[in-house]
Amino acid sequence: MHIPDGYLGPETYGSFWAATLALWYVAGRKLRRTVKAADAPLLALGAAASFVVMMFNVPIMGGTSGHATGAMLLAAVLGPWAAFVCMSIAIAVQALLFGDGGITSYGANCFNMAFAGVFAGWTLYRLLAGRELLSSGEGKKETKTKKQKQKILFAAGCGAYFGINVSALLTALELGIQPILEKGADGRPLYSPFPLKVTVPALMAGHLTLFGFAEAAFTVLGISYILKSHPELIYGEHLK
Amino acid sequence: MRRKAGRRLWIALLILAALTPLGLWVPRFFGAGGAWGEWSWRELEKVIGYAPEGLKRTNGLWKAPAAGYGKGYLGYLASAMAGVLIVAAVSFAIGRLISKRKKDQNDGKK
Repeated sequence: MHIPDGYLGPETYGSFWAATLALWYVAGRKLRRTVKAADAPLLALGAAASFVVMMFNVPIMGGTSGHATGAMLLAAVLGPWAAFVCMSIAIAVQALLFGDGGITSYGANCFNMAFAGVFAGWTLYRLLAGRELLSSGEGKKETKTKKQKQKILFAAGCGAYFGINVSALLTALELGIQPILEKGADGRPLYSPFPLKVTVPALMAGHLTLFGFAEAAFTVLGISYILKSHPELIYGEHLK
Repeated sequence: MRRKAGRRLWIALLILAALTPLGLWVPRFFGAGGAWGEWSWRELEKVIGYAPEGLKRTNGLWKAPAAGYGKGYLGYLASAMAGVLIVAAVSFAIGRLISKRKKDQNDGKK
């Protein structure tokens, strides 16, 4: 899902850079009200976790490979705006240091994985788990019953699966419209050469059948561990 | 938020980072290639027979110092560790930067 340089034309990558800059501005304004200096280590942990998770490539036998992103886990612990910022940082380091994802396409990659993936997952998570369930108990120890925890885990698993598939679909759409948008004088595509009918099945097949479940499994494992060791981290003040 | 990241979570993260070479080995074991649509223009040329002009021009725009997360399993592991450190440091700094701005307003309140 990390679109490299050269696959998106200037119109597309320019638009997504603009959108991502605007979203960072919004995130900055939101987070200024909620983030305290003492939260910095938690943000660092979240961003680093997302970076590491993306290094675990999961193969489709004989085909291509993909990975989870940690979007839902970060959203459940940090809230969606902080998760968006943290994943943006991870994606920037991937691009600058490791050549994973492009510079021109950075805006689109942030939008797909860090923004859309996080917010799609988060919305479903909140819907399924229930707002009251998630927002109670800040600062208190262990107030959730076993049934409530299961509800949170189920919601997080669904959110994770949904979020990463939204990211993948956006990536497929952005790549797939390139042959329509950008053509050379000879009529051949200038950038990503594959039409929508190739990009959508190619990306969605892997994410719907495998990587989505990898994301859900990682999220559920992560959250159940956090519910045991640091339950206060799942109850979000950021919801208020 | 004012919530702490416990030491156990950092340890869990480091264990995960130490296991990252699996992320390289498992796809190799199953004979799977890289991610779909993330080919270099040279690889793409092999797949479709030509490299689109604009793609070829912009594809190598940035030379990443540790492109492809280093060489071999050890390089991959070193990349994971270095990446964790850098990502964490930058996020920490940005977290501090965001929170600092409103320090004056919030001083005295708890």
